[in-house]
Amino acid sequence: MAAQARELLRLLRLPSNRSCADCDAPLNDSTNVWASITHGVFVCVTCVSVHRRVGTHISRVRSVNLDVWTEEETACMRELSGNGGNVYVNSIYERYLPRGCVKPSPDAAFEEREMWIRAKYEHKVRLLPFHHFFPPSCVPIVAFYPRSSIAACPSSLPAPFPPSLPPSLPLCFIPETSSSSPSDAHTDNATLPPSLPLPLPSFSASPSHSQAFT
Amino acid sequence: MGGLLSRVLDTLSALGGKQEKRILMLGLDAAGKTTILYRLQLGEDVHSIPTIGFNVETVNYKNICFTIWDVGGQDRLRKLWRHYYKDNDALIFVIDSADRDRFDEAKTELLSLLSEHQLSHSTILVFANKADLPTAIPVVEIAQLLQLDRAAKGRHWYIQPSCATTGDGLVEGLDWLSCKLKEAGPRPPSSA
Repeated sequence: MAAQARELLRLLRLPSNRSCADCDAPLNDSTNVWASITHGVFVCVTCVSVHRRVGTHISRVRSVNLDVWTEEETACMRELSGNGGNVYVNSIYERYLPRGCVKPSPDAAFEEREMWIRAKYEHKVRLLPFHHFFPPSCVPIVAFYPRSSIAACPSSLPAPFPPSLPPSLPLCFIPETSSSSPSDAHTDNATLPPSLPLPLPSFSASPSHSQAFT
Repeated sequence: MGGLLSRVLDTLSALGGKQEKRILMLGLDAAGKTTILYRLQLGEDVHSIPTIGFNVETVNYKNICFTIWDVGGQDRLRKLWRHYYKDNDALIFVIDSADRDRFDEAKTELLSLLSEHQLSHSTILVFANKADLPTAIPVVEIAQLLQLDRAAKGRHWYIQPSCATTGDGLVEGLDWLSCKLKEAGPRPPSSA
């Protein structure tokens, strides 16, 4: 077995990589696991379909089983996750997950996953505490989506700043939290301290830039 | 005998007005082959998952019945492409024109296909897909980089920019293909 394949399997067996980074589907079958080498996460076959759709400038994906990995690509997975796997990467990308914002479930619809994945990796809306800059009263983060992305899935996203958002809107809704401090608004499972600067890796789409970490 | 029967059937279908053409669609993984296939067949943007194996569908266009074979493009699946080479009228090669890092890999695969004996009679249509993305290489530059005038010398080829999710450029590509295949008539009987 090639060294890259062994290293990949080692990473995949980390307890922090037991479920998909985007929908928490269990990653039991290593023959059907995919990885975004741009972000250092392992994902399921359904979520990888969305990653493929958004383009390689946002997320470059490889199959653990069906692709031949280079040492550079394997290093991307190791370095970006810092051996902390999906849990570590999510602690950065989902750091400022507003309360009430629900992550897609393993049986979520494609549109719901697409909204989540675009917000997470393309617009990176949960990397920064937007509620530091905007009034905390009912700011739907969908307003931060570029109009082009909204036009791409008109059936699944309401227009920005609608007068009344449906209460079942799955994504990106900051409820009224007038008494809470900014740090209260992100998830309880965020493991990093809220102080900036964030220990962010480079978000380059090209794996070749991963050498900066080696 | 099989070859004779095939020619008789081709002649009969030509007389009846309806031609049948077999098309092989290949390209690197995530180039958009399956999205193109179902956009052509169903006219809608299907949320496809990575192809492990192949998809085959028929598409009727301008009195031609295209049977399009879409084969998965992951690294380890490319070894299986050769099993689909036989008896094709055309090869559609799909490139992710926004993926500059893997353009050379796509070019290498295309040039390798062009050197295959069993594909030597195939008309070549290249879809420069994902042309809507901000990092897409312009089609003129793609044409210069692929150098098909040299690599596909003596055969019909065409590079069509496309966006499979919206369908832009796909009909134009199929239009060109149907014209060339009508000119070419029935394919020569397979020697293998």
